[in-house]
Amino acid sequence: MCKIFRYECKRLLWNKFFVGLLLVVLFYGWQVLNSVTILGVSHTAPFSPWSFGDYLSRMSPLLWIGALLFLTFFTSPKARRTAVLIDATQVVPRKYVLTRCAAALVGTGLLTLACLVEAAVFYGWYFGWFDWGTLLFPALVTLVPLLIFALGSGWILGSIKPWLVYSWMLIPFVCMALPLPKTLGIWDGSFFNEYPLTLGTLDPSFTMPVTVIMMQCILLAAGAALLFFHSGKNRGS
Amino acid sequence: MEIRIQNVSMTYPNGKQALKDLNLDLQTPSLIGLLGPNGAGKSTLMKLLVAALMPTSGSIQVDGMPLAKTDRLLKAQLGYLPQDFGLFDELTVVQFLDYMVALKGLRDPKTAIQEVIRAVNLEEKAKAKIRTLSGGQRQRVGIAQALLGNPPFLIFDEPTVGLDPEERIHFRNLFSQTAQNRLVLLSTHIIEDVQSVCDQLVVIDHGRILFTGTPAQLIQAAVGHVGVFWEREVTQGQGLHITSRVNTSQGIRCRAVADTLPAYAQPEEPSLEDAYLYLILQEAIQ
Amino acid sequence: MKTIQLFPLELRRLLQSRLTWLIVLLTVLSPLAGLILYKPASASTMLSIYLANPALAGGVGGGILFGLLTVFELDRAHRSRVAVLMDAVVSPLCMALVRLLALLAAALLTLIVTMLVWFPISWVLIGSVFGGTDYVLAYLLFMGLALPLSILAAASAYQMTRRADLSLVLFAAFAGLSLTIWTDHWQLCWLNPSVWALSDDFSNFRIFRSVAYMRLTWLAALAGIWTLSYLCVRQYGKGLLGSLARNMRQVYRPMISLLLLTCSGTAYAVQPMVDHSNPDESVMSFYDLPYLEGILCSGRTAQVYPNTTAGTVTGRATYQFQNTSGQAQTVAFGIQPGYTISSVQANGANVPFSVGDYQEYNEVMLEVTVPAEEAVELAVEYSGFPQENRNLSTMQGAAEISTEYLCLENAALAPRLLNVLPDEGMYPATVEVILPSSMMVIPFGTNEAEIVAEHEDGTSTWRYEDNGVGGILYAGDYIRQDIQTDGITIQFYYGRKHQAVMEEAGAVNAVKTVVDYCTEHYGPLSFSTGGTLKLIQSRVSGGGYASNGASLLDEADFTAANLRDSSKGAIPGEVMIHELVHQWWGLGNMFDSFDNTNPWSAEGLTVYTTYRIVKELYDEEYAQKHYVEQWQQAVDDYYLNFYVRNTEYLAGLPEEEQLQISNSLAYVRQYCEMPLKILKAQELVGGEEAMDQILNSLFNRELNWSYPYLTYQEFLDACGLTEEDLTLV
Repeated sequence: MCKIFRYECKRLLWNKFFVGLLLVVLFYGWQVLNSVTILGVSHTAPFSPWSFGDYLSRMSPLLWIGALLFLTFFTSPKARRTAVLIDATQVVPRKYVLTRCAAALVGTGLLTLACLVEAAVFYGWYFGWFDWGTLLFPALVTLVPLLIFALGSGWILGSIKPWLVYSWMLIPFVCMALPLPKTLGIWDGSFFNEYPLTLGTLDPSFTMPVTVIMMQCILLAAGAALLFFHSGKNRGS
Repeated sequence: MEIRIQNVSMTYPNGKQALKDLNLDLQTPSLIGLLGPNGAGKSTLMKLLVAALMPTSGSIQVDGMPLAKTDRLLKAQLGYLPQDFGLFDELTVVQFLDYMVALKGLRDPKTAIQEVIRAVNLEEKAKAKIRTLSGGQRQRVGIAQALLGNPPFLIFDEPTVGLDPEERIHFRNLFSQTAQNRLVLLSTHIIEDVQSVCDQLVVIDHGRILFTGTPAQLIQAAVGHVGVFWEREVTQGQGLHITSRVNTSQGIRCRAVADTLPAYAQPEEPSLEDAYLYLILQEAIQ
Repeated sequence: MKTIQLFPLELRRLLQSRLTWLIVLLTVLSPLAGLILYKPASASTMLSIYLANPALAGGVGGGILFGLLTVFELDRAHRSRVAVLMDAVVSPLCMALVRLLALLAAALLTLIVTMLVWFPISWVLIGSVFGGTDYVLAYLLFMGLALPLSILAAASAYQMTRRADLSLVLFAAFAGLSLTIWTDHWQLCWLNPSVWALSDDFSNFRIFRSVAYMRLTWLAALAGIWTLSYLCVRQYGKGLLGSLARNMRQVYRPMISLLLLTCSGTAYAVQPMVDHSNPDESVMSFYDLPYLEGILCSGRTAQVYPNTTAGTVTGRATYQFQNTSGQAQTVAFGIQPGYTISSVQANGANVPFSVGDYQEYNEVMLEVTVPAEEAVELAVEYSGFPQENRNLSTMQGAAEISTEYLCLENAALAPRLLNVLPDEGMYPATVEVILPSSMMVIPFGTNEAEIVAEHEDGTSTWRYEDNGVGGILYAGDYIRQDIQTDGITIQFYYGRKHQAVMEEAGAVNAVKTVVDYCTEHYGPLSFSTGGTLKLIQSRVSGGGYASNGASLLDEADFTAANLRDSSKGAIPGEVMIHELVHQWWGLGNMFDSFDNTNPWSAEGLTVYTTYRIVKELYDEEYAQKHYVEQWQQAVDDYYLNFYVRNTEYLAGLPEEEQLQISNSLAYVRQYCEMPLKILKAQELVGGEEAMDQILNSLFNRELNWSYPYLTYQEFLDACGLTEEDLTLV
């Protein structure tokens, strides 16, 4: 499966789509950092976990779209035509789907890493700030559930109808427009803007209410479960 | 290897009945030609054999074991070239075959890949990206991936589509050699391919088997039903199925199959194509 | 020729697709989002709520949908593998053009359907102030032009990358930037133009012009990029660069692209809508110019000819100088940055002049060398399209000039003298303005304008006398209503279209109530002009101002929408209250206005009094929520701001961000912190009644003519408090 993984990574990452996507993400990220993050959110520093979380939640729609676009490599009608060959092999479906998913995860992870590195460069450049360890937790808690859920749900939808993946890309924009409950505040970025103000201290350290953590855990579990259960049913697409 | 198809019927969810009560035995070694008009049920039969579909009723047994329980075992011994398939355009030929080797779990991938690339005459394009290949070259990549690991059971659905005449002859020979110690199922519209290499024929139409046997047996059945005549002599053409018209200096020479030849037609030795057409004609009349 | 033949064929094919009709349907429905979800126009006028927002939402929704449709349609030929068949019959370049035209035609069709569907709905929703011109222009500019821009952007992305997925990402990012990061840059938000308000009662041509300019700039840019991408259409099995090199052989193609991109770049750089005023609003260098020695100004005149069709102004201003210095002097004027000076003459002879590059507060400096003659009459001829202050570039529309409305403020009316003192403390001025006869001219101040000539072309010359270096002039289709209060006659001017709403809202009573409240609590106003006060309704501008004898009332103070809004219905226009209160707190000798960063300004007491009026006369809960809590919030936000607390990081920020933070300081201190301090003082002195008595005594205090202004110390002394007592925790 290592070889399959390697080839899938090559298919996903060694093309102009990934390069283009990376450039778009970096450009968008730099615009966000320079226009919004630089001012800080909720009275905190631009390099506080809260401002950083706000930056990530503003980037998450693009990362969400990126993750789903990676899935279209496996769910598109063109990919389905190749699946005829793959279905005739003795490969274990679950292993195969999880391998491909891991490749999509690597692609998404690289995009995310680019966002994080960009923020790190930005913080170093403008503020001479290098204490990146404090940002790890908000980054993990914000992005990992979101992206796993994107992959899990996207995979299911794509295997039903390829165009459903494209429709699913609009979800972050719908979330931005709709009044979401506070537990889903990470999805529209309101959590990072509003929650620190309720903590009653200046420059609060990064904490999350149990409901938000639970919601993120549910998302993570749902994403992982969708991937795991679906992987047993389908292989080529 | 022995595959036994017993009373298999297949009806798609949209209600279309593709196969009706099919019975067939396939044994190694043999090269079986699967013939039939468009929509006869050939591709459905192949999909059943590669466990891409489950029959609505009946059973398929591989070496005495039901296919539903041994599909992994079957796939480990299977090489399959579907009629319509896709390739990863962004990989090179070698990379794609390497990918398929990994999926098939073969040992010594390098040798396996080299063997099949040589077999399908793609040495020059081995390092080319698949997106740069012509239609015929892509078809050869498809054949190559089916041949990977010398599987004992090979299914080719229209394998020579898009190949030039020289390549077609090459592949006919290849299939013929391959079938010496294996079970090869070859579905095609090109009778010449079947005539030259297959030792057994299965003709299906409307989901039913019309004929199983050797090509010679099929030809034998058509003796006395093939004739030639001058077109100008034709007085009544009912029941006559013209298979070819040739312009000559004396006029147009016609070749036809019929249940009963007219008096003006001169009986001729049937070809496999004549025999096949006669079989289908009979089915249509019935 | 082939393109023309293929176009109807391709359009028919496009219209046979179910997806196209789904996109058309969703686009037609998308203005609905402007009524429910997406409301970028924040003003409470009927046209903002029921026309601007639906049209803007239609533009955003339709733009995104047509962008997606474009990528889908362009990719369709490759996806369904018919490209190879089509390329065999038609050149891919020709087909690219045909597809673009078909998509544009579908967009046009969609726009027409949308306008037809929403016309009756808008009419019903907007009511009596609905206007066909506003409707058509709003839908054409706010919605219509978003569709071709999106189509061009998406088609360019696809033709360059030849990948549907990458094109979608590029288009999403391009649209995303417009909708989020670029919203503060009026020229960059190509999808959602910066429209914050549309006027119900007056015309909206200025904001329409601004949006049209932005759209056309982008249209040129995207058409240029599309032409470039057209050159990238793959041919002869070549890749991006190979096809580009091949397609560029016909030189006119890259030339068109270059021309369009140059046009767009030039249009972007030399936009005529907003000026280049210094974003640092604490700098007022034009006010700090030293007065020249040995030269005085004894009077001035101005003849102003606004062109109500083109939205431009032409004028001639003369200034009488007494130059006793015996030498040439350089006199400075502040002029509108949009104007050009065609000639400057002193006593009939041309004199050298220069216009600087530096701009602040919507003015640029004109320097003229006045000859060494004792009596000099300086004539300045100017003309141009008034620009708006770039610091308010996302709230354009104030510089409206039409047959329905115009407002010319200070340098927009005539060059404002900066560095010459008046003779005998006065700058007597005579202003003449020629306008269509349907317009009423209202000088903002104590003076009255009168018609001195009526012309055959349907225009009239109005004349009024003024005093000062600047001056503000309003004109429009106004009606006047006189309101008698305790000793004051209020001349209430409002737009003719607004009459019904004003009557329904009881505007006259509201005005009377405010004046009575202030008179009762602080004492009557002392007027130098026979006890009259003008209250002029301005086109929706989000605020107002007051001067001796005149206050402004924002159009949004009384709207049908506010009347419908039960939470706000009882409270009359707060801008009107604020600007009327300024007649007590802010004018005459009340506050030293030369330091605009001083926390103790006219605004503190005015905002406090406005709060008191809203609280006592209307809705206590509303006052607490929208005044006290908002002051507190703004003060907290400011002082808790990371950069305010950690100034060492501030210097590292780009200048624009630094200024954004420092500019907010003056606002917070004057409009939020000071009212909070006054509120605290009120508690410390024993309550509202005690504070009212103190304010009454301050309003009626005896003036010290050497420094007649009310100081913070005087306020503290009157309260018996110290500065520390009012420190906010």
